[in-house]
Amino acid sequence: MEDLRPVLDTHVLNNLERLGSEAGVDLVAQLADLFLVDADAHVIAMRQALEADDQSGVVRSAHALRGASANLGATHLARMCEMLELNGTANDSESRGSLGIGIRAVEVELEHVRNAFVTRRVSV
Amino acid sequence: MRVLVADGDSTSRLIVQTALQNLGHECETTNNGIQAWVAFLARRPDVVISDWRMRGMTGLELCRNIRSHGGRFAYFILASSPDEREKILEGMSEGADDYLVKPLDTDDLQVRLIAAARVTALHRQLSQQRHELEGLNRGLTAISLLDPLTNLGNRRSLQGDLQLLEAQVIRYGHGSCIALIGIDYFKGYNDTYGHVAGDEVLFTVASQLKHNARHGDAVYRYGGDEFICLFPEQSLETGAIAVQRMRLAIEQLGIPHDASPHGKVTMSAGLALLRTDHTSSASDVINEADGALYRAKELGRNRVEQAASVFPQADRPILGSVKKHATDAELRGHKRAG
Repeated sequence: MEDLRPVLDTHVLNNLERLGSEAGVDLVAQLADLFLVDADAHVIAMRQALEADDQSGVVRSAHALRGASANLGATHLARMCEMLELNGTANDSESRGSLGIGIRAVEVELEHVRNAFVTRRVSV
Repeated sequence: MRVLVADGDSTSRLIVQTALQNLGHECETTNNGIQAWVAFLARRPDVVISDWRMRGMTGLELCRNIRSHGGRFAYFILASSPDEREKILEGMSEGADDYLVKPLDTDDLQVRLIAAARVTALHRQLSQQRHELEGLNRGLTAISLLDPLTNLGNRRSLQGDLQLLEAQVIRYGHGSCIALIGIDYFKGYNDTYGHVAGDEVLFTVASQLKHNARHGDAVYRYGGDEFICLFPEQSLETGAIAVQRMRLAIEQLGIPHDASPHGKVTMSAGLALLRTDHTSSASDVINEADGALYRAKELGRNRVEQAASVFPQADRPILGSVKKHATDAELRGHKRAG
């Protein structure tokens, strides 16, 4: 199942590639470098916020990571971050309890994204 | 265009920056609201593209600051996520010109920038036209205060300056001298030499009056062959010295005047004092000067006379050298000969 859904939206990537080639740079590679560094920081911040029982901190980092993921066409990662945001802002204890699982899911998907960017770079 | 991009997300900044540079725009980026505000003040960009969510200052606050700061127009584009649409409405009502929904679509961005360039150009044009109009108005105001024949201030100009002088006299407690000057037998000159020559005499006399006025004194054409000089903070005596110098200068021009017993163009003057004690208005003082001018004409012309004290006051300056002839009130009943 998992292999059937694309980690990176090719339509978004193609647009970014076109933009980069007009500027004469490998924009996707530059964006991937920025993104992966920031994304790691966001995930660390989420974990720390969860340990400190700071839900709004989790939501803040999830929101930031969602925006960046969407920019690069990491659609599924963006959706997972959105779920995390929703659960973080919900008032029921079940949603709050699921934050740890949500963060773990984000971490797993982030590794897929990282691999996809590495694969892309090798193939370019 | 010069574009300032404010966004906490590094990928958003790089995408917008690349798109802007591809379109030939100058671009500066910042990652938080406070830095954006500082950069805005320093660079005054044409366009600001700001994310709504930022550290330090939200995009909305940045927009409010820019709008209330005034000055040169900047086109403001607010960016936000699709689930923050209510923020867009708030931003647009607070003065944002357009919005972008994230994730950024580069085609969309290009469309927004075309609109921004058009609106910005219109604003520039409007502000330039306003500037030109202001300049034109200033020019027209200056012209409306000038007498076209003599280039002296006209009666409208006198009116404004006299009000100012009156206020200064009352505030600072120094009297000021006013002189009413007339060209002797001017009607006769016009009848003898024609109106064109008469205009030349008016112009020449006006130039002499101006030339002999001291810095801070002001000369106006009052009407016909009459001029008014204002001598701020001058007594009747010091004012008389200045007017005597003017009278002498005109006499020494030696412009032939067959219709005058003096054989040349001369002037007469009446002086009065704008006092600090509120006893008379500026127009009263001009009337007093008029009375003194009448007396100067009665006494043979080509001379300067000072107004007699109409309202004697203990705190008035001492008018030692004023000769009492008929009082001005008595003389004012008569019609003055030209």
